[in-house]
Amino acid sequence: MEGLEWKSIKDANCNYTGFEWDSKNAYNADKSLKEGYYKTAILIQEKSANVPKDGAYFHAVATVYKEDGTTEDYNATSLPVDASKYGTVAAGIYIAKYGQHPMNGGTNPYPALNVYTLNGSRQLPDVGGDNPATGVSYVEGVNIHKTGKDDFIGIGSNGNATSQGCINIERGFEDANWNDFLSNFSNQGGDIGVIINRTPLKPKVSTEILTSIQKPQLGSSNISWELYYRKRAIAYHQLAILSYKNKELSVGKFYSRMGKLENNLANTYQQFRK
Amino acid sequence: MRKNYILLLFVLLQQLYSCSNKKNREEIYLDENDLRTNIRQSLGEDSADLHFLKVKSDTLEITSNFEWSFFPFGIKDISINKIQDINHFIFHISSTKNQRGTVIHRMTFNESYLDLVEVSDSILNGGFDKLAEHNYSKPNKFYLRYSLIKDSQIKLALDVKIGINKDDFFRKTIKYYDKTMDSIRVFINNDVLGTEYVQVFVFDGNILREILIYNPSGNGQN
Repeated sequence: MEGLEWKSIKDANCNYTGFEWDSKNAYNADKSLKEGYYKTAILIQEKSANVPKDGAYFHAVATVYKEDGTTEDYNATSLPVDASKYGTVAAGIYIAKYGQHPMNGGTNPYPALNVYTLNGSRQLPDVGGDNPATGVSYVEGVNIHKTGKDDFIGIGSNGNATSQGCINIERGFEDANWNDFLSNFSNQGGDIGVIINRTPLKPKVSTEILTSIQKPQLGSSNISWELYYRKRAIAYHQLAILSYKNKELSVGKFYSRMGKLENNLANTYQQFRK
Repeated sequence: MRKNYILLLFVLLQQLYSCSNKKNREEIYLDENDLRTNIRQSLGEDSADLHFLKVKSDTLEITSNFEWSFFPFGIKDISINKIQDINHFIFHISSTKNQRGTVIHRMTFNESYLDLVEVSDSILNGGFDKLAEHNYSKPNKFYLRYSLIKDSQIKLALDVKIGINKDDFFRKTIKYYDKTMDSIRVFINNDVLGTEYVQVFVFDGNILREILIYNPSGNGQN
Protein backbone atom coordinates (compact mmCIF):
# COMPACT_ATOMS: atom_id res chain seq x y z
CA MET A 1 0.00 0.00 0.00
CA GLU A 2 1.54 3.29 -1.01
CA GLY A 3 1.07 6.64 0.62
CA LEU A 4 -0.80 7.52 3.76
CA GLU A 5 -4.46 7.83 4.44
CA TRP A 6 -5.92 10.76 6.28
CA LYS A 7 -9.09 10.56 8.32
CA SER A 8 -10.93 13.54 9.76
CA ILE A 9 -10.98 13.99 13.53
CA LYS A 10 -13.37 15.84 15.81
CA ASP A 11 -13.04 17.47 19.21
CA ALA A 12 -15.28 16.82 22.22
CA ASN A 13 -17.84 19.28 20.83
CA CYS A 14 -18.01 17.36 17.55
CA ASN A 15 -16.22 20.13 15.62
CA TYR A 16 -13.89 18.91 12.89
CA THR A 17 -10.39 19.86 13.93
CA GLY A 18 -8.01 18.17 11.51
CA PHE A 19 -6.90 14.90 10.00
CA GLU A 20 -4.97 11.93 11.31
CA TRP A 21 -3.22 9.08 9.60
CA ASP A 22 -5.14 5.84 9.76
CA SER A 23 -3.91 3.50 7.08
CA LYS A 24 -4.95 0.31 8.89
CA ASN A 25 -8.66 0.99 8.53
CA ALA A 26 -8.63 3.07 5.37
CA TYR A 27 -9.31 0.46 2.69
CA ASN A 28 -12.23 -1.69 1.63
CA ALA A 29 -11.65 -5.30 0.66
CA ASP A 30 -11.43 -4.24 -2.99
CA LYS A 31 -8.58 -1.86 -2.01
CA SER A 32 -10.67 1.21 -2.65
CA LEU A 33 -10.52 3.99 -0.05
CA LYS A 34 -13.33 3.86 2.48
CA GLU A 35 -15.68 6.79 2.74
CA GLY A 36 -14.25 9.50 4.95
CA TYR A 37 -10.63 8.68 4.11
CA TYR A 38 -8.51 10.88 1.85
CA LYS A 39 -5.13 10.55 0.23
CA THR A 40 -4.65 14.29 0.61
CA ALA A 41 -6.47 16.78 2.80
CA ILE A 42 -6.51 20.43 3.78
CA LEU A 43 -7.25 22.01 7.15
CA ILE A 44 -8.06 25.71 7.06
CA GLN A 45 -7.81 27.28 10.46
CA GLU A 46 -7.65 30.76 11.95
CA LYS A 47 -4.16 31.83 12.98
CA SER A 48 -5.21 33.72 16.07
CA ALA A 49 -8.20 34.56 18.20
CA ASN A 50 -8.38 37.96 16.50
CA VAL A 51 -10.49 36.76 13.59
CA PRO A 52 -11.04 39.69 11.22
CA LYS A 53 -14.47 40.68 9.95
CA ASP A 54 -13.35 40.47 6.34
CA GLY A 55 -10.60 38.53 4.63
CA ALA A 56 -8.37 41.56 4.19
CA TYR A 57 -5.13 39.71 4.95
CA PHE A 58 -3.84 36.17 5.46
CA HIS A 59 -5.69 35.53 8.71
CA ALA A 60 -5.76 31.75 8.28
CA VAL A 61 -3.39 28.90 7.68
CA ALA A 62 -4.08 26.09 5.23
CA THR A 63 -2.34 22.93 6.40
CA VAL A 64 -1.96 20.42 3.60
CA TYR A 65 -1.82 16.75 4.61
CA LYS A 66 0.24 15.30 1.81
CA GLU A 67 0.15 11.91 0.23
CA ASP A 68 3.65 11.17 1.55
CA GLY A 69 2.48 11.61 5.13
CA THR A 70 3.99 15.02 5.77
CA THR A 71 2.16 18.29 6.27
CA GLU A 72 2.85 21.81 5.03
CA ASP A 73 1.36 25.15 5.95
CA TYR A 74 0.35 27.93 3.57
CA ASN A 75 -0.96 31.42 4.27
CA ALA A 76 -4.62 31.67 3.41
CA THR A 77 -7.84 33.60 3.73
CA SER A 78 -11.17 31.89 4.28
CA LEU A 79 -13.33 35.00 4.45
CA PRO A 80 -14.67 37.10 1.56
CA VAL A 81 -13.10 40.53 1.05
CA ASP A 82 -16.32 42.10 2.26
CA ALA A 83 -18.40 39.91 4.57
CA SER A 84 -21.28 42.36 4.46
CA LYS A 85 -21.61 41.79 0.70
CA TYR A 86 -20.60 38.18 0.15
CA GLY A 87 -21.28 34.84 1.79
CA THR A 88 -18.87 33.04 4.12
CA VAL A 89 -18.55 29.26 4.14
CA ALA A 90 -19.51 27.73 7.48
CA ALA A 91 -17.06 25.64 9.47
CA GLY A 92 -17.25 21.95 8.74
CA ILE A 93 -15.98 19.19 6.52
CA TYR A 94 -16.12 19.32 2.73
CA ILE A 95 -14.41 17.75 -0.23
CA ALA A 96 -12.47 19.40 -3.01
CA LYS A 97 -11.68 18.23 -6.51
CA TYR A 98 -8.89 19.35 -8.79
CA GLY A 99 -10.48 21.61 -11.37
CA GLN A 100 -10.27 25.22 -12.39
CA HIS A 101 -11.17 28.72 -11.30
CA PRO A 102 -13.66 29.90 -12.36
CA MET A 103 -15.07 26.40 -12.50
CA ASN A 104 -17.52 27.16 -15.27
CA GLY A 105 -15.09 28.86 -17.60
CA GLY A 106 -15.07 32.63 -17.68
CA THR A 107 -12.37 34.30 -19.66
CA ASN A 108 -9.19 33.13 -17.98
CA PRO A 109 -9.66 29.89 -16.05
CA TYR A 110 -6.61 28.37 -14.38
CA PRO A 111 -6.07 25.12 -12.40
CA ALA A 112 -7.53 25.35 -8.88
CA LEU A 113 -9.63 23.30 -6.45
CA ASN A 114 -13.44 23.28 -6.47
CA VAL A 115 -15.16 22.70 -3.15
CA TYR A 116 -18.25 20.52 -2.63
CA THR A 117 -20.32 19.24 0.28
CA LEU A 118 -19.77 15.59 1.19
CA ASN A 119 -22.76 14.65 -0.94
CA GLY A 120 -21.38 16.46 -3.95
CA SER A 121 -23.31 19.73 -3.91
CA ARG A 122 -21.65 23.01 -4.84
CA GLN A 123 -23.98 24.80 -2.42
CA LEU A 124 -22.01 25.08 0.81
CA PRO A 125 -23.71 26.27 3.99
CA ASP A 126 -23.27 29.96 4.80
CA VAL A 127 -21.78 30.78 8.19
CA GLY A 128 -24.83 32.72 9.35
CA GLY A 129 -27.29 30.87 7.19
CA ASP A 130 -27.98 34.11 5.36
CA ASN A 131 -25.69 34.88 2.43
CA PRO A 132 -25.77 38.70 2.06
CA ALA A 133 -25.09 38.44 -1.66
CA THR A 134 -28.10 36.29 -2.42
CA GLY A 135 -30.26 36.08 0.71
CA VAL A 136 -30.12 32.28 0.61
CA SER A 137 -28.60 29.95 3.19
CA TYR A 138 -25.70 28.77 1.07
CA VAL A 139 -22.61 29.98 -0.78
CA GLU A 140 -22.27 28.65 -4.29
CA GLY A 141 -19.19 28.30 -6.48
CA VAL A 142 -16.57 28.17 -3.74
CA ASN A 143 -13.09 27.40 -4.99
CA ILE A 144 -9.64 27.32 -3.47
CA HIS A 145 -7.60 29.62 -5.67
CA LYS A 146 -4.76 32.11 -5.63
CA THR A 147 -4.96 35.73 -4.51
CA GLY A 148 -4.56 38.75 -6.78
CA LYS A 149 -1.35 39.81 -8.47
CA ASP A 150 1.50 40.30 -5.97
CA ASP A 151 -0.86 38.94 -3.29
CA PHE A 152 -3.38 41.72 -3.60
CA ILE A 153 -6.51 41.02 -1.56
CA GLY A 154 -9.49 43.26 -2.19
CA ILE A 155 -11.73 44.62 -4.91
CA GLY A 156 -10.39 45.63 -8.29
CA SER A 157 -11.44 48.80 -10.11
CA ASN A 158 -13.55 46.63 -12.38
CA GLY A 159 -15.67 45.65 -9.37
CA ASN A 160 -14.41 42.08 -9.13
CA ALA A 161 -13.17 40.83 -5.76
CA THR A 162 -10.29 38.46 -5.07
CA SER A 163 -12.71 36.49 -2.88
CA GLN A 164 -16.49 36.47 -2.85
CA GLY A 165 -16.41 33.61 -0.37
CA CYS A 166 -13.66 31.53 -1.97
CA ILE A 167 -10.62 30.39 -0.05
CA ASN A 168 -7.48 32.14 -1.23
CA ILE A 169 -3.93 30.85 -0.94
CA GLU A 170 -0.91 33.17 -0.92
CA ARG A 171 0.66 33.40 -4.35
CA GLY A 172 4.15 34.34 -3.25
CA PHE A 173 6.83 35.60 -5.58
CA GLU A 174 5.91 34.74 -9.15
CA ASP A 175 3.20 32.37 -7.86
CA ALA A 176 5.76 30.08 -6.20
CA ASN A 177 3.64 29.42 -3.07
CA TRP A 178 0.48 28.84 -5.03
CA ASN A 179 2.16 26.47 -7.46
CA ASP A 180 3.70 24.57 -4.58
CA PHE A 181 0.30 24.33 -2.86
CA LEU A 182 -1.40 23.04 -5.99
CA SER A 183 1.36 20.52 -6.70
CA ASN A 184 0.26 18.59 -3.59
CA PHE A 185 -2.88 17.42 -5.36
CA SER A 186 -3.47 15.08 -8.22
CA ASN A 187 -5.26 16.29 -11.32
CA GLN A 188 -6.30 12.68 -11.99
CA GLY A 189 -9.45 12.89 -9.88
CA GLY A 190 -10.10 11.77 -6.33
CA ASP A 191 -11.56 13.63 -3.40
CA ILE A 192 -9.46 15.91 -1.23
CA GLY A 193 -10.69 16.23 2.35
CA VAL A 194 -11.25 19.84 3.41
CA ILE A 195 -11.95 21.04 6.93
CA ILE A 196 -12.73 24.65 7.68
CA ASN A 197 -12.21 25.24 11.37
CA ARG A 198 -13.06 28.78 12.41
CA THR A 199 -11.70 28.43 15.93
CA PRO A 200 -8.15 29.71 16.26
CA LEU A 201 -5.10 27.53 16.51
CA LYS A 202 -4.41 26.41 20.05
CA PRO A 203 -2.44 29.03 21.99
CA LYS A 204 1.27 28.53 21.89
CA VAL A 205 2.56 25.96 24.31
CA SER A 206 5.37 27.51 26.27
CA THR A 207 7.77 26.08 28.77
CA GLU A 208 5.42 27.52 31.37
CA ILE A 209 3.27 24.45 30.88
CA LEU A 210 6.18 22.37 32.13
CA THR A 211 6.81 24.48 35.21
CA SER A 212 3.08 24.57 35.96
CA ILE A 213 3.04 20.79 36.42
CA GLN A 214 3.37 20.29 40.13
CA LYS A 215 5.93 17.81 41.30
CA PRO A 216 4.56 15.33 43.85
CA GLN A 217 5.96 15.45 47.35
CA LEU A 218 8.50 12.92 48.45
CA GLY A 219 6.80 9.77 49.55
CA SER A 220 3.83 10.29 47.21
CA SER A 221 2.27 7.26 45.61
CA ASN A 222 3.55 5.72 42.43
CA ILE A 223 0.36 6.83 40.65
CA SER A 224 1.05 10.48 41.49
CA TRP A 225 4.57 10.19 40.14
CA GLU A 226 3.37 8.43 37.03
CA LEU A 227 0.78 11.14 36.44
CA TYR A 228 3.44 13.79 36.87
CA TYR A 229 5.78 12.22 34.34
CA ARG A 230 2.95 11.57 31.89
CA LYS A 231 1.88 15.24 32.04
CA ARG A 232 5.48 16.27 31.41
CA ALA A 233 5.71 13.87 28.49
CA ILE A 234 2.54 15.29 26.94
CA ALA A 235 3.85 18.84 27.37
CA TYR A 236 7.13 17.88 25.69
CA HIS A 237 5.18 16.27 22.87
CA GLN A 238 3.18 19.48 22.40
CA LEU A 239 6.37 21.53 22.40
CA ALA A 240 7.92 19.26 19.78
CA ILE A 241 4.83 19.45 17.56
CA LEU A 242 4.72 23.22 17.90
CA SER A 243 8.42 23.54 17.07
CA TYR A 244 7.87 21.35 14.02
CA LYS A 245 4.84 23.38 12.93
CA ASN A 246 6.80 26.59 13.40
CA LYS A 247 9.48 25.05 11.19
CA GLU A 248 12.03 25.24 14.01
CA LEU A 249 12.54 21.49 13.69
CA SER A 250 13.25 19.51 10.56
CA VAL A 251 11.23 16.35 9.87
CA GLY A 252 14.20 14.19 10.89
CA LYS A 253 14.83 16.02 14.15
CA PHE A 254 11.11 16.02 14.91
CA TYR A 255 10.82 12.26 14.56
CA SER A 256 14.05 11.78 16.49
CA ARG A 257 12.74 13.94 19.35
CA MET A 258 9.38 12.21 19.29
CA GLY A 259 11.16 8.85 19.41
CA LYS A 260 13.12 9.88 22.49
CA LEU A 261 9.97 11.16 24.12
CA GLU A 262 8.23 7.87 23.43
CA ASN A 263 11.17 6.02 25.02
CA ASN A 264 11.01 8.27 28.06
CA LEU A 265 7.32 7.60 28.36
CA ALA A 266 7.88 3.86 28.04
CA ASN A 267 10.59 4.03 30.72
CA THR A 268 8.22 5.93 32.97
CA TYR A 269 5.66 3.18 32.54
CA GLN A 270 8.24 0.52 33.30
CA GLN A 271 9.45 2.42 36.33
CA PHE A 272 6.05 2.84 37.90
CA ARG A 273 4.27 -0.30 36.74
CA LYS A 274 6.74 -2.78 38.05
CA MET B 1 59.25 67.14 -18.97
CA ARG B 2 57.39 65.27 -21.70
CA LYS B 3 56.77 62.46 -19.27
CA ASN B 4 55.18 64.93 -16.84
CA TYR B 5 52.88 66.27 -19.57
CA ILE B 6 51.71 62.75 -20.38
CA LEU B 7 51.11 62.06 -16.71
CA LEU B 8 49.17 65.31 -16.32
CA LEU B 9 47.08 64.53 -19.40
CA PHE B 10 46.37 61.07 -18.06
CA VAL B 11 45.25 62.47 -14.69
CA LEU B 12 43.06 65.08 -16.40
CA LEU B 13 41.44 62.50 -18.65
CA GLN B 14 40.82 60.27 -15.67
CA GLN B 15 39.19 63.14 -13.75
CA LEU B 16 37.08 64.06 -16.76
CA TYR B 17 35.93 60.49 -17.28
CA SER B 18 35.20 60.03 -13.61
CA CYS B 19 33.14 63.27 -13.49
CA SER B 20 31.15 62.39 -16.55
CA ASN B 21 30.52 58.90 -15.20
CA LYS B 22 29.43 60.26 -11.85
CA LYS B 23 27.10 62.67 -13.58
CA ASN B 24 25.60 59.82 -15.61
CA ARG B 25 25.16 57.73 -12.51
CA GLU B 26 23.35 60.57 -10.80
CA GLU B 27 21.11 61.05 -13.78
CA ILE B 28 20.09 57.44 -14.09
CA TYR B 29 19.87 56.65 -10.39
CA LEU B 30 16.31 55.69 -9.62
CA ASP B 31 15.51 54.76 -6.05
CA GLU B 32 12.71 52.20 -5.84
CA ASN B 33 11.65 53.15 -2.31
CA ASP B 34 11.73 56.90 -2.99
CA LEU B 35 9.72 56.43 -6.15
CA ARG B 36 7.10 54.29 -4.39
CA THR B 37 6.75 56.88 -1.62
CA ASN B 38 6.59 59.80 -4.03
CA ILE B 39 3.96 58.18 -6.23
CA ARG B 40 1.80 57.25 -3.23
CA GLN B 41 2.08 60.77 -1.84
CA SER B 42 1.13 62.16 -5.19
CA LEU B 43 -1.87 59.83 -5.41
CA GLY B 44 -3.09 61.06 -2.02
CA GLU B 45 -6.35 59.35 -1.08
CA ASP B 46 -5.87 56.88 -3.89
CA SER B 47 -2.41 55.84 -2.70
CA ALA B 48 -3.58 52.24 -2.26
CA ASP B 49 -4.08 52.13 -6.03
CA LEU B 50 -0.35 51.52 -6.24
CA HIS B 51 -0.09 48.03 -4.80
CA PHE B 52 3.42 47.02 -5.83
CA LEU B 53 6.42 48.62 -7.51
CA LYS B 54 9.80 47.40 -8.57
CA VAL B 55 12.63 48.77 -10.66
CA LYS B 56 14.91 46.49 -12.57
CA SER B 57 17.54 48.10 -14.76
CA ASP B 58 15.66 50.44 -17.13
CA THR B 59 12.27 48.85 -16.42
CA LEU B 60 9.69 50.10 -13.96
CA GLU B 61 7.00 47.53 -13.17
CA ILE B 62 3.94 48.19 -11.06
CA THR B 63 0.81 46.35 -9.96
CA SER B 64 -2.03 48.80 -9.64
CA ASN B 65 -5.73 49.26 -9.12
CA PHE B 66 -6.14 52.27 -11.39
CA GLU B 67 -9.24 52.29 -13.55
CA TRP B 68 -7.08 52.29 -16.67
CA SER B 69 -5.40 49.11 -15.43
CA PHE B 70 -8.67 47.32 -16.10
CA PHE B 71 -9.93 49.47 -18.97
CA PRO B 72 -6.87 50.39 -21.05
CA PHE B 73 -8.95 51.96 -23.81
CA GLY B 74 -11.22 53.76 -21.37
CA ILE B 75 -14.09 51.49 -22.44
CA LYS B 76 -15.87 49.38 -19.82
CA ASP B 77 -17.61 46.82 -22.00
CA ILE B 78 -15.09 46.54 -24.77
CA SER B 79 -16.41 45.71 -28.25
CA ILE B 80 -15.36 46.17 -31.86
CA ASN B 81 -17.93 48.92 -32.35
CA LYS B 82 -16.86 50.88 -29.30
CA ILE B 83 -13.19 50.78 -30.27
CA GLN B 84 -14.03 51.76 -33.83
CA ASP B 85 -16.23 54.55 -32.55
CA ILE B 86 -13.58 56.28 -30.42
CA ASN B 87 -11.01 55.86 -33.19
CA HIS B 88 -13.17 57.18 -36.08
CA PHE B 89 -13.55 53.74 -37.68
CA ILE B 90 -9.92 53.51 -38.80
CA PHE B 91 -9.55 49.76 -38.25
CA HIS B 92 -9.78 47.04 -40.85
CA ILE B 93 -11.32 43.89 -39.37
CA SER B 94 -10.67 40.25 -40.20
CA SER B 95 -12.13 37.34 -38.27
CA THR B 96 -11.00 33.76 -37.75
CA LYS B 97 -12.42 30.84 -35.87
CA ASN B 98 -10.06 28.62 -33.89
CA GLN B 99 -10.38 24.85 -33.35
CA ARG B 100 -12.52 25.35 -30.26
CA GLY B 101 -14.95 27.45 -32.22
CA THR B 102 -13.91 30.74 -30.62
CA VAL B 103 -14.02 33.71 -32.97
CA ILE B 104 -11.03 36.06 -32.89
CA HIS B 105 -11.37 39.45 -34.56
CA ARG B 106 -8.18 41.22 -35.63
CA MET B 107 -8.53 44.98 -35.87
CA THR B 108 -5.66 46.37 -37.94
CA PHE B 109 -4.47 49.90 -38.58
CA ASN B 110 -1.07 50.52 -40.21
CA GLU B 111 1.48 48.82 -37.95
CA SER B 112 -0.96 48.36 -35.07
CA TYR B 113 -3.45 45.64 -34.31
CA LEU B 114 -5.84 44.45 -31.62
CA ASP B 115 -7.03 40.87 -31.21
CA LEU B 116 -10.49 40.70 -29.69
CA VAL B 117 -11.93 37.36 -28.64
CA GLU B 118 -15.67 36.95 -28.97
CA VAL B 119 -17.09 34.77 -26.23
CA SER B 120 -20.62 33.52 -26.16
CA ASP B 121 -22.55 33.82 -22.93
CA SER B 122 -22.87 30.04 -22.81
CA ILE B 123 -19.10 29.74 -22.32
CA LEU B 124 -19.16 32.35 -19.58
CA ASN B 125 -22.01 30.68 -17.74
CA GLY B 126 -21.04 27.09 -18.20
CA GLY B 127 -23.83 26.32 -20.63
CA PHE B 128 -26.66 27.27 -18.29
CA ASP B 129 -28.03 29.67 -20.90
CA LYS B 130 -29.03 26.68 -22.97
CA LEU B 131 -32.33 27.04 -21.21
CA ALA B 132 -34.76 28.51 -23.71
CA GLU B 133 -35.39 31.73 -21.83
CA HIS B 134 -31.73 32.69 -22.02
CA ASN B 135 -31.03 31.76 -25.59
CA TYR B 136 -31.76 34.98 -27.34
CA SER B 137 -31.36 37.58 -24.62
CA LYS B 138 -27.63 38.00 -24.06
CA PRO B 139 -25.20 39.32 -26.66
CA ASN B 140 -21.72 37.84 -26.94
CA LYS B 141 -18.91 39.45 -24.98
CA PHE B 142 -15.56 40.65 -26.28
CA TYR B 143 -12.22 40.39 -24.57
CA LEU B 144 -8.98 41.99 -25.60
CA ARG B 145 -6.47 39.21 -25.88
CA TYR B 146 -3.49 40.99 -27.36
CA SER B 147 -2.76 44.40 -28.74
CA LEU B 148 0.26 46.04 -30.32
CA ILE B 149 0.04 49.77 -30.85
CA LYS B 150 2.59 51.77 -32.82
CA ASP B 151 0.41 54.50 -34.34
CA SER B 152 -0.45 57.81 -32.72
CA GLN B 153 -3.99 57.79 -34.12
CA ILE B 154 -5.07 55.10 -31.68
CA LYS B 155 -6.48 56.48 -28.46
CA LEU B 156 -6.10 54.91 -25.05
CA ALA B 157 -7.53 55.86 -21.67
CA LEU B 158 -6.37 59.22 -20.23
CA ASP B 159 -5.49 60.45 -23.74
CA VAL B 160 -2.38 58.33 -23.79
CA LYS B 161 -1.10 57.79 -27.31
CA ILE B 162 2.06 57.02 -29.21
CA GLY B 163 4.33 60.07 -29.44
CA ILE B 164 3.63 61.68 -26.08
CA ASN B 165 6.61 62.46 -23.92
CA LYS B 166 7.59 60.65 -20.75
CA ASP B 167 6.76 63.53 -18.44
CA ASP B 168 3.25 63.83 -19.86
CA PHE B 169 2.75 60.06 -19.88
CA PHE B 170 3.66 59.49 -16.23
CA ARG B 171 1.74 62.51 -14.99
CA LYS B 172 -1.36 61.16 -16.75
CA THR B 173 -1.01 57.56 -15.64
CA ILE B 174 0.64 57.38 -12.21
CA LYS B 175 0.21 61.08 -11.37
CA TYR B 176 3.91 61.53 -10.72
CA TYR B 177 7.07 62.32 -12.60
CA ASP B 178 10.57 63.44 -11.69
CA LYS B 179 13.85 63.60 -13.57
CA THR B 180 15.12 60.30 -12.13
CA MET B 181 12.43 58.61 -14.19
CA ASP B 182 14.14 59.68 -17.41
CA SER B 183 16.16 56.48 -17.19
CA ILE B 184 13.00 54.37 -17.55
CA ARG B 185 12.78 52.81 -20.99
CA VAL B 186 10.07 50.24 -20.30
CA PHE B 187 7.07 50.71 -18.02
CA ILE B 188 4.92 47.67 -17.18
CA ASN B 189 1.55 47.87 -15.45
CA ASN B 190 -0.33 44.81 -14.11
CA ASP B 191 -3.88 44.96 -12.82
CA VAL B 192 -4.14 43.97 -9.14
CA LEU B 193 -6.40 41.01 -9.74
CA GLY B 194 -3.88 39.56 -12.18
CA THR B 195 -6.72 38.49 -14.42
CA GLU B 196 -7.16 41.25 -16.97
CA TYR B 197 -4.22 43.05 -18.52
CA VAL B 198 -0.50 43.47 -18.60
CA GLN B 199 0.31 46.78 -20.29
CA VAL B 200 3.83 47.42 -21.54
CA PHE B 201 4.90 50.91 -22.62
CA VAL B 202 8.19 51.22 -24.49
CA PHE B 203 9.98 54.55 -24.77
CA ASP B 204 12.56 55.67 -27.25
CA GLY B 205 14.42 58.39 -25.41
CA ASN B 206 11.71 60.66 -24.11
CA ILE B 207 8.99 59.54 -26.50
CA LEU B 208 6.43 56.73 -26.14
CA ARG B 209 6.96 54.51 -29.18
CA GLU B 210 5.17 51.23 -28.61
CA ILE B 211 2.42 49.77 -26.44
CA LEU B 212 1.67 46.10 -25.85
CA ILE B 213 -1.44 45.05 -23.99
CA TYR B 214 -2.12 41.41 -23.31
CA ASN B 215 -4.02 39.08 -21.05
CA PRO B 216 -1.75 37.59 -18.34
CA SER B 217 -3.03 34.06 -19.00
CA GLY B 218 -1.67 34.52 -22.49
CA ASN B 219 -4.49 32.80 -24.26
CA GLY B 220 -7.85 34.32 -23.47
CA GLN B 221 -10.42 31.87 -24.78
CA ASN B 222 -8.17 30.12 -27.24
